This record gives sequence, structure tokens and C-alpha cells, in this order.
Amino acid sequence: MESYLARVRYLARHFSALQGLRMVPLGLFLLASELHRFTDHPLLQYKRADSLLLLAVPLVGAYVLVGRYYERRFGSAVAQRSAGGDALAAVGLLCWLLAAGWTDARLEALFHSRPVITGLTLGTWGLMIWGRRRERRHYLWLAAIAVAASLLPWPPRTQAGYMNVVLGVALIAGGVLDHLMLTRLVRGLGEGPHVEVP
Amino acid sequence: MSRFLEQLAGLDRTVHEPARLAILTALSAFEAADFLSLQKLTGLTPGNLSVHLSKLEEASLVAIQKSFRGKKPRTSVSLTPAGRSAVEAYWQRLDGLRKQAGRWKAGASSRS
Repeated sequence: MESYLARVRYLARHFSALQGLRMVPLGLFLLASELHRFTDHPLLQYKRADSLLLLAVPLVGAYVLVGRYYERRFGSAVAQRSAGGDALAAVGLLCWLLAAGWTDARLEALFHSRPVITGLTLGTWGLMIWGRRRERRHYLWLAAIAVAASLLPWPPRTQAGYMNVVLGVALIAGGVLDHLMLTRLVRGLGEGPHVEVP
Repeated sequence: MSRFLEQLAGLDRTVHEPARLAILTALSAFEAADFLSLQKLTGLTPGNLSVHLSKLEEASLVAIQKSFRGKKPRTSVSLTPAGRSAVEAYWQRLDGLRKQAGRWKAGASSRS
């Protein structure tokens, strides 16, 4: 019974966080926004502002569809955390990432144009997520991949897109793996604690 | 040992029943949850979940609100303050008893 209750407790605490498919549209958006750096195809050589606007519409649509999918399949529950705290944390992390990118640009000569500080930042994020929820081991791997990718010799045109590409891949991979973890945990509960109603 | 058994017997039976404990534990992570999410979080069948929720509502440990979203019925469940205190106290008590049982076991092993 203890194992069943431990699983219920874990699932309830991480129910929202494990709905990882919600991150996939943003990941795809980040990847798509950097496509023009990796190809000379005329269709993909669009101006930055136009491309972002074009990509934002399907992003919002996909996010809404994913939300509806989770509500239909897993129901909905209102978490206890304050929205204000989460928003503040998100702004803080974004500022941290922008500062890392700025630092990389200043240390271009030292790191031979490799986005090392950004890579270490993304790696640290992955470690922080894994540190808080050790069962999500895939974030440890994503952290390692982010750091390793930052040490690779990126072609000059593509270096500026490193952050969006790595973050996009991490959001997609992490989101899908979180979702698979959610479905595995829910399936693992079976039909409850196998006790007849007294 | 006898004090340990007294405490064990004193555990609230409304809360201690495995399925109801699972429902309360699941709800303790949320302000409110709908029927489907509770079903997924506990693995209980709809009928089983419904019966246990009724018992918990009778004991004033949960509050159930029924509404409609269009033509679809929607059940929203939340812990009452009494329910939240009961499940938190239950887990604290169980953790304490677990530690006590560990010490008792260690003492018994050293005496044998």
C-alpha cells in the first residue's frame, strides 16, 4: 500500500509539471525561428519580425490544443502554487539567459566564438530541475547535451542561434519525456489499492 | 510497545482506508480537482471513487461542487480545512509511528 500511496503523492505533486507536451509548441517555435541560419532556401529567408509573427499564431493554437488534450485525457486540477511566484521565477531565468548571451558576445575571443556561458546556463537549469525532482533523470542528460553542444565549433552564421536551438530541442525532448513519465505513472496505478469498498 | 499500539489503533479510520487516503493525499496538492483528474491520480474506478467521495463528504473532509459546462456535468472536489488538517496530521503521525517502529525494531534486535 505504501508504494501505491507514494506514487499517488508524487503524481499529485508533479501533475502539472509532468504535462510536458505543453512545452513542445514553444520548443518548435524556437527551432523554427532559427531555421534561416541553417539553410539558404529562399522561402526561409524571411525578415525577423515577420517570421516571429507568422510562427506565433500556430504556437498559440498548438498550446490551446495541447491544453484541451490534457483536460480531456487527465482532467484538470488547480495547483496550490501562487502564479505570481512562477511568473517572477520565469522573468528571473530569462534575464539570466540574456545576461549569459551578452557575456558570450563579450568573451567571443576567449571561447573562440563558442557560446560557453549560455551552454553552462542551460546546463545549470537542467541540473536544477533534476535536483528538485530526481526521478526526471532526462533533465540530467539534457543538461549534459546543452553543455556539450556549446563546446562544439558552430558555423559562424549559426552561433547566434545556439541558445534558441538548444533550448528548443530541450523543451521538446524534456516535454515529451515528461509526458511519457506521466502516462507511465498513471498506468502504474492500475485500479487503485485493490481494496473493496467496505 | 503498548503505547505504540494505542497510537496505531487511534489512527482515524475514515482517513486510514487506502482509497480514501489516496483521494485526500491527491487533493492535498491542489486547491480543487475535477472527477477525472482524481480518477487518474488514484487509479480508482469511477464507481469506487464516487462512493469514497460520498463518505469523505459525509465526514466533512471534502467539499463537492457539481456544475455544468455546456451540457457536460462537471464535479469539482476540494479539501475542507478539516480535511486538509486531517490528511497533514495523518501523514505526520504515520511518519512519527514509522520512526518509532524503527526504534522499537532496533531495540528488539539488540535485546535478542
